[in-house]
Amino acid sequence: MSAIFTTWKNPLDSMIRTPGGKRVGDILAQAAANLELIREPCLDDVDEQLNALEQLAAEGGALPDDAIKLDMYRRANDIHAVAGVFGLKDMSDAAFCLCELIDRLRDKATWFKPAIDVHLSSLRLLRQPSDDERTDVVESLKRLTEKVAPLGAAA
Amino acid sequence: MHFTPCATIAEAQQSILENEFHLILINANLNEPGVYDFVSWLRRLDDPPNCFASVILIAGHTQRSHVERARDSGANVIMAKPVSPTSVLERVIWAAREKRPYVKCASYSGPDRRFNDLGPPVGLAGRRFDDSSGVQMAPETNAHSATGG
Repeated sequence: MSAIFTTWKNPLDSMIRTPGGKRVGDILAQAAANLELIREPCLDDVDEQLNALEQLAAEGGALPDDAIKLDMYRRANDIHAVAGVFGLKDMSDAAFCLCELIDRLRDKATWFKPAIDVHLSSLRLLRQPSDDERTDVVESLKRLTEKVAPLGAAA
Repeated sequence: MHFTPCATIAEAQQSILENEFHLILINANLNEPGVYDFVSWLRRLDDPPNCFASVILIAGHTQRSHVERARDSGANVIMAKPVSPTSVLERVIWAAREKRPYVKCASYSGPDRRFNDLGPPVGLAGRRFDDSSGVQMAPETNAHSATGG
């Protein structure tokens, strides 16, 4: 089968260019107001996910089974997605680091509980809003992941 | 303008078979292979406009083993979470206005993955009638030149 190229003009483009409708500023303000309405339940969910992560890490011990690893990965991914929307950027970034660490450890069929625990403690710390710059915490987590599970290295 | 929220891939497929869409936003868990299969299925539908609808995948951390598959799924845009209203709006406008042609071949169906047409490799003539030989040449050694491919 050879490649077939088709040029397509998306009608969405015409809709966007057509004068009228709501102003962009008004739409974004409405979206921000809508987000504010769900802030508390979303942050409650973040707390629940963090509690569950800590419980899973404790249950799994030194070498958790694959189901626990996958569950932890998914919960960390949920925290990453939601925390950043509601002003907890450092917590979101730390959760991303935890996803990366779990993914690498799963690839290597190994586990390193102390590094997981450091990530969870950091998430607990970063959950609290602060005016202080805390990006150094996230940078430290990245370095930790590089140290215990470097890309390309055998287990 | 009409919005159709769908909770599952099966629901989305059914809705696409019954309606016309110009934009599809997927809150994707890119670690679930069904997401890629859904976009590939959409791109291989025979009847426009749905097969040419702009597809934006919004994803969190993606496992390394799935990154290539996400890229080759046929989506127009893959956005990284967390997203904001502004970032989503910017990407919707970008997707609506992009001019890349759609490609359909045995191994891929979706928007052309080449963003820049740099012409054939340095020192080589184009191999197809629609290569941009004579229009421009690649300004420097590119991947094809480097590998001899």
